[in-house]
Amino acid sequence: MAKAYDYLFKLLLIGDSGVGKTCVLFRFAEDQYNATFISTIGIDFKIRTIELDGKKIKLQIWDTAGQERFRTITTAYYRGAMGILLVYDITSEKSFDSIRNWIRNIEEHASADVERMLIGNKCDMNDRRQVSKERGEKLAIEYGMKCMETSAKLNENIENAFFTLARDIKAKTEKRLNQNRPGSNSQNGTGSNTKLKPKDNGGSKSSFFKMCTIL
Amino acid sequence: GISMYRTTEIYELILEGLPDKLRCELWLIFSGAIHQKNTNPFVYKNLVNQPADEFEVTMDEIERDLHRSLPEHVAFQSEIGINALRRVLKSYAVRNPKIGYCQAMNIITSVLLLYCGEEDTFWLLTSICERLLPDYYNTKVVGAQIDAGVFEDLCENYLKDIYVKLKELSVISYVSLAWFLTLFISSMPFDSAVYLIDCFFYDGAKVMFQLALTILQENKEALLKCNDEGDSIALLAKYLEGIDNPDRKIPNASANIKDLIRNSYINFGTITDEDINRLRLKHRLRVVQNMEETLLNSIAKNVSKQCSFSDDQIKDFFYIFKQVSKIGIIDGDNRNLTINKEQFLKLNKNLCDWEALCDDEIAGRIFDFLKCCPSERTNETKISKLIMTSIANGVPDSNEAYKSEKSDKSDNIDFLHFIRYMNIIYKSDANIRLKFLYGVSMNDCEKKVQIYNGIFWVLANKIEVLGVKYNDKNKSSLVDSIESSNINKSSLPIMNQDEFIGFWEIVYNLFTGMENEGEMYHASATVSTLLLRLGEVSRKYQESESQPRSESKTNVDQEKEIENVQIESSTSLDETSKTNEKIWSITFEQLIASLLTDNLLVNYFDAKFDVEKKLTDYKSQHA
Repeated sequence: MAKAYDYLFKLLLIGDSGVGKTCVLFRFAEDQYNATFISTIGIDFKIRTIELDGKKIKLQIWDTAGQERFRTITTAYYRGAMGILLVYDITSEKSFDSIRNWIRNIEEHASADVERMLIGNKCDMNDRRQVSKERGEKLAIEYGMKCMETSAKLNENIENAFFTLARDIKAKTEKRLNQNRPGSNSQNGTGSNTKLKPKDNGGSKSSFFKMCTIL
Repeated sequence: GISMYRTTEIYELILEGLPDKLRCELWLIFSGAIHQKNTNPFVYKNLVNQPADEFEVTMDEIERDLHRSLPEHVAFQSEIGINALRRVLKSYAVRNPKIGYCQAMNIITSVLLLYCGEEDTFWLLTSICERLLPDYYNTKVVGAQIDAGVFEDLCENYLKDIYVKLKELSVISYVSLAWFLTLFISSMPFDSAVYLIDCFFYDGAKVMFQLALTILQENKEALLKCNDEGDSIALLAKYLEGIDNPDRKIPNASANIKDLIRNSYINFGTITDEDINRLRLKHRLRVVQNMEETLLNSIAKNVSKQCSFSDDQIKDFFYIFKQVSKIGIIDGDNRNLTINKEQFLKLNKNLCDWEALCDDEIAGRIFDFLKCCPSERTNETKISKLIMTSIANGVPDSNEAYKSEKSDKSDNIDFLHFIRYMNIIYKSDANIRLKFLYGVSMNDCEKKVQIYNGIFWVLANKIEVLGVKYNDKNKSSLVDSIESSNINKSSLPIMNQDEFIGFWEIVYNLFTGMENEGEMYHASATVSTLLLRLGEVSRKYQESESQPRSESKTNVDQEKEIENVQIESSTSLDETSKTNEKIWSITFEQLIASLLTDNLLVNYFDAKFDVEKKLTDYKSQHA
């Protein structure tokens, strides 16, 4: 059977209601734009497989409801995420202010080493801008994450954002995989096996296999 | 009232799908909404006209979703439909603020509006939110979470192999949420879902479970072949999108809703309301416990850096705090719980082992002190913003931050305040405890805030972390400027004579009733006399000083401030030198140095209290 993908990464989109999470995801997964989506109820998701440095990576991207009262439901999905995109709307001060609360949610519910990225969406609406690019950048620096301004409508930076995040996760995963190999003494990959899912053989099996070839 | 016999003919009619023209009338009768409508003739009209100013946040949420309810339908592409939708949702939010507005209500309402007038829609919505789908749309969406659990149990009973498979992929609760919350409208074409709605108004929530089970059963083969949860969810989503109905055929339809509903009655019609209610009861307990556990864990994670208690102790404290605040787990924002003075006094009596501090007079002053100092959490955004601008301007201006912090006072304290106070009681030494009492004795709120921050390093920590993260190059200058600013220095605001007297009042009260009361009084009298002289010296010293000192601003007491206003005309230099005259004052360093010379006092303020015992006692008393 041909290998469908080398890695499976789970990503999560969070942010206030109406900032355009679904549009960003739809643009990335289907390369289409639709100005009026039905509001996301609970949680939804899309898949796209991309190629990075010759590796096939299946991205399973979860889209969440932004309304506060769904938080107890959506936070249940944080734990499995390897990358989280925090989305705000550059024309909404309030959605930007909420980012700190969303980060708090991540700190409380996601795994500690999750990759995060700040997304300022709707950058096509510059005339109604309320949040300057600099403020977005500063916030991102404060929390040690990358940031990007995107437009799902004009397809600006959408690919870039997802690819950057995927690349960072891949680098982290492969680094850990190498550390876990015998030879390098550090055998302390905490729970890394659950994060890596090669299609043909389960995570633990693959590292065992690699161990055999080296020995 | 209006009623109707349940006959097999009506069942046949429902299973065929109600005629569009009769839908509204029959929905009203089936659901019982007609009674509420008839007995409350002017309610809807009044609600529409009622101003909704106090529900601004809710109205914003509604506004954002109006165009995202049934966007593909032409009725909601013009203002007529949008305005009707707005009126119904707004009226409901005003009618029942406990539910307000929950996403999914917009989707259901928009479909109801296609078949019914506004007032009828309003009453149908009311019957769904308040009777047919209990607790579904409240602030924690508890009802829907409960039903997701109920659905899992039903799957286990009726579709064991699919249950085992989907359980492994943890899919079941995920898919059912959106299905149930929107009566399948968000997942299948609305004109197909409306057939289910016919049955739903007639037979209640059980038909949703029937249909959901049928959908899984129809996809059994494919589901069992799925490799991961993504695949199975995608498969079900595609299947649901392709469900058509007798009025509108879709090419390559995956199923017809009429057949599905018929099958659902045949295969799962034996599931009764009693079964469902029994399962709901079981899952309600589980869901609420889960929510509580999640909340406690996240509180512990959040607060553990702010105090020296173990996670379990924090959880115990929070649990008790929550009980006192009287806010249930289901309603309200549990993470920003607060308590008022009365509640604090009660809590303090139960949890504070330092008996003297349980006195209402002293405890009241402690509460006023805590209340004066906004917790870091509520002000996080504001402080960080200020710091960001300060960094942009080069120098962090801590005074600015203090001022803005002070500006929005509330009459309550939150859990962070409380746990920090408990930390003073159980985990601190004489130095910190005296610093705390020093702060409690202050009259001026700004001084209180400075001392509070001095004890808990709220801002200093924040800036330091920021400085490191911000830029290594900027770091050194940033740290320098922090050091030169007054927050990181040990110097706390100076105490004036009034506050000094207040401080000793508190200390004397602490000793009242002790076995060696007399000795303690004597010791403190000696120390306070010494300090009184020190304060005098400092006044004389200041008098002889001709140059105004930079920190003079902080030791302006109220009288002098009035004097200040009176001599507006004089130059600023004159003002400062004038206010410096004749001020009796002592510093915290002087206070603590004098106090620590006496062993009796040191031992008293260094006394250890056992938090574990106190918590255990409390729990056994209140079990």
